[in-house]
Amino acid sequence: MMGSDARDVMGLPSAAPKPATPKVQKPKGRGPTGMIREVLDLKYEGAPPISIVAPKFKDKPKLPFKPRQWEETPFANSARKDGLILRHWRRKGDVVNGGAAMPVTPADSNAASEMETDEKAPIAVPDAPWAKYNVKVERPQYTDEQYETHLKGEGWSKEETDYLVDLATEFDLRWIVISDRYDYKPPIQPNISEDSMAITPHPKTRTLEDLKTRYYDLAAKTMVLHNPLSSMSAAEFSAHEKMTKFDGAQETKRKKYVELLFARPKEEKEEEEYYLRELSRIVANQEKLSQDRKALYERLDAAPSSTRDSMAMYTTSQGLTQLMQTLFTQNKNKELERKGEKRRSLLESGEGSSHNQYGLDRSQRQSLSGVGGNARLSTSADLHSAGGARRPLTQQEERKYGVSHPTERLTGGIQFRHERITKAGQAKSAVQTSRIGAALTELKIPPRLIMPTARVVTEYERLIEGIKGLLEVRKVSEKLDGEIRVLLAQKELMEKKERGEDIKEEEGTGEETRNQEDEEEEAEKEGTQNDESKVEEDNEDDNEDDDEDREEKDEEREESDDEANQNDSDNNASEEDADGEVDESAMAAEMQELQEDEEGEAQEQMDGDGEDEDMEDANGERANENDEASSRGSAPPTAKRSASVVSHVSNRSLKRQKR
Amino acid sequence: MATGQASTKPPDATEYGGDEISALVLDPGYATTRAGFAGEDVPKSVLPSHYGIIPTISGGKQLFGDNSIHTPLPGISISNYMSREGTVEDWETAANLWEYAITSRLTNAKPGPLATNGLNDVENQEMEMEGIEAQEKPLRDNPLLMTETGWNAGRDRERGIEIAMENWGCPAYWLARNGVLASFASGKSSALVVDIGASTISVTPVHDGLILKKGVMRSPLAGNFVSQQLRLMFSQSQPPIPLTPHYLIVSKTPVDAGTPSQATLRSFAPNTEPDPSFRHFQEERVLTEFKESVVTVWPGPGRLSGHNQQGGTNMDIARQHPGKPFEMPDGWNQMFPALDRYRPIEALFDPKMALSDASNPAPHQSQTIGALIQSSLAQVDVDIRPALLSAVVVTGGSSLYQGLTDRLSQELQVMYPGTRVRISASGNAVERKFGSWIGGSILASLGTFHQMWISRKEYEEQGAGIVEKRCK
Ligand SMILES: Nc1ncnc2c1ncn2[C@@H]1O[C@H](COP(=O)(O)OP(=O)(O)O)[C@@H](O)[C@H]1O
Ligand SMILES: [Mg+2]
Repeated sequence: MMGSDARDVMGLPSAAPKPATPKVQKPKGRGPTGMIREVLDLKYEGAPPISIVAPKFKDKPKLPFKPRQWEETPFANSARKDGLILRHWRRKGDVVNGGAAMPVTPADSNAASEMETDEKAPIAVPDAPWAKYNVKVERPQYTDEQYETHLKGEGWSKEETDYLVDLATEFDLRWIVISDRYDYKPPIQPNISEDSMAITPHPKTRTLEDLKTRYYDLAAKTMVLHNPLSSMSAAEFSAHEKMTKFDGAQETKRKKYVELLFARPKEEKEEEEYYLRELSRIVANQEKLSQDRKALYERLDAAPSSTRDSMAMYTTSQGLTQLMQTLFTQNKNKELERKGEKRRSLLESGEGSSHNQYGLDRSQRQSLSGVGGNARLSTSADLHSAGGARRPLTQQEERKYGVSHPTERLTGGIQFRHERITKAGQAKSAVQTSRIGAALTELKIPPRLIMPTARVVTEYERLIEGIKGLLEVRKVSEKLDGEIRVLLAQKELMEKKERGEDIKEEEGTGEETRNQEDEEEEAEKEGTQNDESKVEEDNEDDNEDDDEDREEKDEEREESDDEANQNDSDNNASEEDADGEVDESAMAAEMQELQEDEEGEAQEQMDGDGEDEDMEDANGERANENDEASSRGSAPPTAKRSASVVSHVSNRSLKRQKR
Repeated sequence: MATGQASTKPPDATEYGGDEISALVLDPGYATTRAGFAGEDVPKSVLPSHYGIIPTISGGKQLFGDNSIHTPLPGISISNYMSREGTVEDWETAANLWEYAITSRLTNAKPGPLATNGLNDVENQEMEMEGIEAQEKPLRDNPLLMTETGWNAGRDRERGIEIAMENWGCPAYWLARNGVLASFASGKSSALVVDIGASTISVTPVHDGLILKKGVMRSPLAGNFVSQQLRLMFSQSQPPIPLTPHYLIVSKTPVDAGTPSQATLRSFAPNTEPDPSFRHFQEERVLTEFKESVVTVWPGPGRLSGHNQQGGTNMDIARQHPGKPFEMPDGWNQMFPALDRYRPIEALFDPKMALSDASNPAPHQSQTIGALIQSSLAQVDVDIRPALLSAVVVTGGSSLYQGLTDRLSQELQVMYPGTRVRISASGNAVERKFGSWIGGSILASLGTFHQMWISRKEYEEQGAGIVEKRCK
């Protein structure tokens, strides 16, 4: 209870029930109620109204809940063996979490017993939830005999070994601490005489590795002593494995290197940091590059699968230029961004010739492979603007990047290499295109070149040209074959006539021979039958849209269906199969073409011959290219194979011509 | 009202692993002795480790605490129970001072004879001695965690537990290295602790909460050394700068900078003068003020005695830096040029810059902070050196000089160019001064620490030697 003096000092009313204090009268005439006093003060200037409030204690806060009580509760910790009872504040009635209540018998001298002097009975106190964190390292156990027979270590006495094991257990195998505290003093043996005292071995300085080696050796051996290898659990076995594999000498060597590394001068460290930085940049760049490439491939893939209408837009040269323009501006924007980045990074990481060179390399690669690596900016002006002052490229690099120095103005404008590839593969008619495709498949050349470098594309174009030529030649030869047969048939007919046969049949001859031609043609195609099925599929797609072809096809079919049946007997079974499978429309279209081309056949024959040689040539070169390409990780057809296939094809066509 | 309820709830103990058991933490240092309850942010009871002695007929009466030792009583002399090594020298006084620190501010005075605090009449004390045994002991409810320096050894380690158990009746006791605690205070269990205190500067490698004894290094280039440098600077300047402590000033009139002071000094009747140690102690307080406000560390690059890249000396550069005015208690004041602000502390890094005289020889190179760290690291395994260098904890009152941590960081970076050096020093002056106490507060309030305490029973069974076995 506070004394009345203190209350006086603080100006508080006395605690005693005070006589009814006269109510302080509020000054009258204060104006309207409900106004803040300060506002009133402003309104009615003059002496501020004084409110006389008797000082009093702050009211007890009215809390909406009942405060719960706290009490100092004793508790024990099962990790302790001495039954120490400590006290902490806990909410009254709180359930002690974790650990069952542990009955503890306080020792007489225990602090707890002093506290509860009256009750001598064992008190049940809850166990601390912290006891579970008391984890100890298992101490390797061995008896004297075991030590003598199995565990002796070179240069280690049993006493010192014991000391080591104690220390290791003590510090939970924190080797750094163990070696810091290791201070073994061999016991002074009383039986050693005075003079031999001089040669008592000086306590060895044991390095951390010495200690580890000894301990692990010992621990591994005791493990086996207690539990043979065969009956060890996986965890035990791996622990044993680790311990036996410890190599102190190796560790010492490693430490030496670490020491060197630690003491290394600033320059070396900076150099290493520089290399690491460069490496990470290259890796990051690499990722970006391949991402760009992938994105482009996806864009290119999407185009053909989209509807004809959207594609049609790009079939005209105007449309293509437009597409290229958009692609190019996109590319340009990207590149500008990258240049900015590059300049920044150059500023950041200081100069240095090697670095500078690297920067240029990178920009070149980017400018050239900005669009998936197969776009080519063929104007030198572009290259110029891309890099500012440039190191002149070596010849090899120029070839690598496909830089050309055209002497005349380029008419075509900017051209993407992939455009050239697709263009090359396209012939006037869908049938022709598919034939070219078939030929390429036969040559094992993928429709999208794996490494479309400038040289490869040029060679590719030449190859396509060659294929086209050969196809022409084949057509001509087939045409001639057909004609020869017609003539032979006519001759036969005439002979028959002479022998007096029915004239009626003569009317159908025209049709028949025509059909025969078809059959012959198919027969000749035996060699490429595998491809025919593929061609057929393609044709189906293509020709559905090709109205002209379809009309013709329908006509032909009507005409030929009957005849075909008649002629079946002339052909063997395999031919029949092929016949059935081959789309007649393709035949029809070809016939059409053959007729159209008849005029220039002689000329083309000549060209074709020349082309054959070219092809061989081209394949030779292509082989080189292929080697180059395959060394970069792609796998185009082997040179030999393609060469032999081409020569095979050309041989056939030549044979036919001779016929 | 939910918020009101929440505030009455204690934080979930499992969140921070805390489980407080009303333990006390006692951290004796050369400058101050800090005591408080574990779990609190700052020690509630901080008193100077210096104490006053008034000679009386029967040996002398001890005065503890700031309230009593600054009065110039007749014949008062000032001593310190700590040695210049940072270890306890006068155990008897230590026990008294500690008990005063604890009972005056922390625990309620127990009902019973006031003699328990040792502050009462000597005559009474004698008489009531037998009574104490029967009475309650002051700390029978509070486990006690005490701190010690990294180099404390032998019998000195055992005295603490004896006092705690015998005199105060503690239920449990622990003795922790203050380097470890400082690293705990900055949230690290492995660190290189640089403690710049009053009497010693120490470097302690801490690994997994244990000091690496071989790596503990210390030197006397700490707060007291800087004070000595200041005294030398004052006495060697032309004209000498007077150092008059507060208690001598009766009145003063403001004077212009650099002119002699005009103050009336207190005069003492014969035989009522305080001991010279009292004046020294009071001068020290003025010097601490000067240290706090004027002395700063040369910011670098390089040393104050060195040259810069342009070929000029750093001293020349320092001359252009701004000075700072300081007024002595007697009104004497002066603008202290930057060079004078840098000079007194520079010797901690560069012994060449130390001021010296016959009785105060210049320190040796091996005593500088850099050299201490270097020799400390040389003693620890190379595998953990980089880790230690990336966790350099700077603590202690004398690390509060402006720019000290930055300069130390620079020096270390020069010494270990191939390794990342990171200094972690609290920006809070209180946390810096009480670093080891705060670490102790954290440790003693952890639930997992319950199993560590040396209990009364263990002490009684195994004797004081148990400290050596348990507190590694
Ligand atoms: N702001 C400060 N600037 C410089 N020195 C200070 C500052 N505050 C205290 N000191 C010095 O720090 C020393 C006390 O530091 P402290 O770590 O408490 O020492 P100890 O642990 O030895 O008791 C004293 O010498 C005092 O002069
Ligand atoms: Mg200290």
